[in-house]
Amino acid sequence: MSAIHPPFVADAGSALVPLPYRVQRFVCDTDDTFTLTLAPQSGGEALPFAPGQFNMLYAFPSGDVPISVSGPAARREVLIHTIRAVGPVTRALAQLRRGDTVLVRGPFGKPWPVAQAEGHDVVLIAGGIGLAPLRPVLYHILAKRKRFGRLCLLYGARTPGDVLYRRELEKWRGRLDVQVEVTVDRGDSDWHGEVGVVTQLLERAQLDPARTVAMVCGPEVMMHFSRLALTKRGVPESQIFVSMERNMKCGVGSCGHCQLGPFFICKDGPVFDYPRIAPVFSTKEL
Amino acid sequence: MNPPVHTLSPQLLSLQFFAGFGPAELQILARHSRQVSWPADVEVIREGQVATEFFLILDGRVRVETHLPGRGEVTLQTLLRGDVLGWSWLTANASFSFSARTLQPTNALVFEGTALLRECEQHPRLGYLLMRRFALVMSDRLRHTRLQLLDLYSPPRSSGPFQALKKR
Ligand SMILES: Cc1cc2nc3c(=O)[nH]c(=O)nc-3n(C[C@H](O)[C@H](O)[C@H](O)COP(=O)(O)OP(=O)(O)OC[C@H]3O[C@@H](n4cnc5c(N)ncnc54)[C@H](O)[C@@H]3O)c2cc1C
Ligand code: FES
Repeated sequence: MSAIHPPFVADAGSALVPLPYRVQRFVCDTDDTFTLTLAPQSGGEALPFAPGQFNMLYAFPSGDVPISVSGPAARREVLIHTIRAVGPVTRALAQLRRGDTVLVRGPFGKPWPVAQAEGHDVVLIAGGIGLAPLRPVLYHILAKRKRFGRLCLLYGARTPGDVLYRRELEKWRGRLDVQVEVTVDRGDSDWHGEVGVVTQLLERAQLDPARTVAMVCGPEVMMHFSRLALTKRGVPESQIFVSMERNMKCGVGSCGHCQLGPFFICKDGPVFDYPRIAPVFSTKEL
Repeated sequence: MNPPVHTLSPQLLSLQFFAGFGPAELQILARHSRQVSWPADVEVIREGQVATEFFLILDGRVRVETHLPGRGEVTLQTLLRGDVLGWSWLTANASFSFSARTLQPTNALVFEGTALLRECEQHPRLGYLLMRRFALVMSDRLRHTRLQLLDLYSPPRSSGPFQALKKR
């Protein structure tokens, strides 16, 4: 297969103007992670997006942060975001209640190469909160299952309590057309699943490496070791995609906040094919 | 008790563990191995117990665990088809460093480590191949342990105390 490059998806016209959304649903996923379902305050459809794209979410008075869309792209009436509360803005978002207003700007960035992955085996490797930006890919592939080869979701979390979307994982695992493997670093006596790192799961993934497209999302150190494991398994580097994160402000490539080497992560990424990002991958912010 | 296995079927030989062994070595391995079936929730080895055997998991699932005072049993790793359990037998008079318990009904090959060590004295090639195989098992295990220690999915450094969402 020749190198797959994600298509450029034009940002919506509202890229610089935040639109008000109402919190329709607030779900606590884990001790520090929650999912917001947002509906446009004006009624009608939410901003259309492609799997892997992100929005800037405002929490007053703290500021705004980039958050990937974690819901299905086909569900046009709402935007779903899963957020880990780590600092001032994400913690302010964690204080939202049903009916509250959030300002949303987006969607931004290059998506996962879902259309180009058609006809191939697909392996999704997620670590921690990294499952959220990959979930729309899974929804998409499951909805158009026949167009893809084998499908594997490999997910690693710190502890059983950190595992996201547990009920959905169980549902997906029950299907015959997707291999779902979940592992934690530290199990407890109630955990009957795998214990070990996510790269170990790759050794067991049923796929044809040469015709596999891999999409990897999680902290950079986890993506680094996943890339090494994929290469060892024989997946060509041009078929490995990662999603990068840097602090952001404008989201449209004009402020330079998210610059990494020659790239603006907001505009050139966040999804990159590995050969493109390799020269600056795992280096400190430049 | 399960009957001894005198030949290793082609299906078993397809496991990575047997890669590189010639017919002579495979015969010795077969002579000192037998197949076992355990139901779920059986303690297969116990921490501190004298280690004379090792196991090759054929199907099912086994967890390697240790007891931590105040925290109970902590699972360190899970083993599936093709994984090796136990290498303490390599050093004479050693004991198992961890316990292991089946999570599901599990089939495994049990190898008599002590007898194999004696065979290795007579058959240096077998010894060489076995040591190489276990060096690989150990280096894999070490690599995975290092990655677990790296805390790959750790949340970014927190900028202050956070009231857990569950307490909302
Ligand atoms: C394209 C993109 C998509 C994202 N999608 C999601 C998502 O779906 N869900 C989600 O929870 N988060 C996501 N993030 C990360 C999220 O934007 C940050 O966690 C958020 O900006 C933190 O803001 P804060 O004000 O709450 O904390 P800050 O005060 O900015 O940060 C608190 C601590 O977290 C660290 N930190 C901040 N941002 C990051 C980061 N991106 N990666 C690692 N450490 C960081 C800081 O160094 C600091 O130690 C995404 C980031 C990007 C760039
Ligand atoms: S956030 Fe402004 S250039 Fe990327």
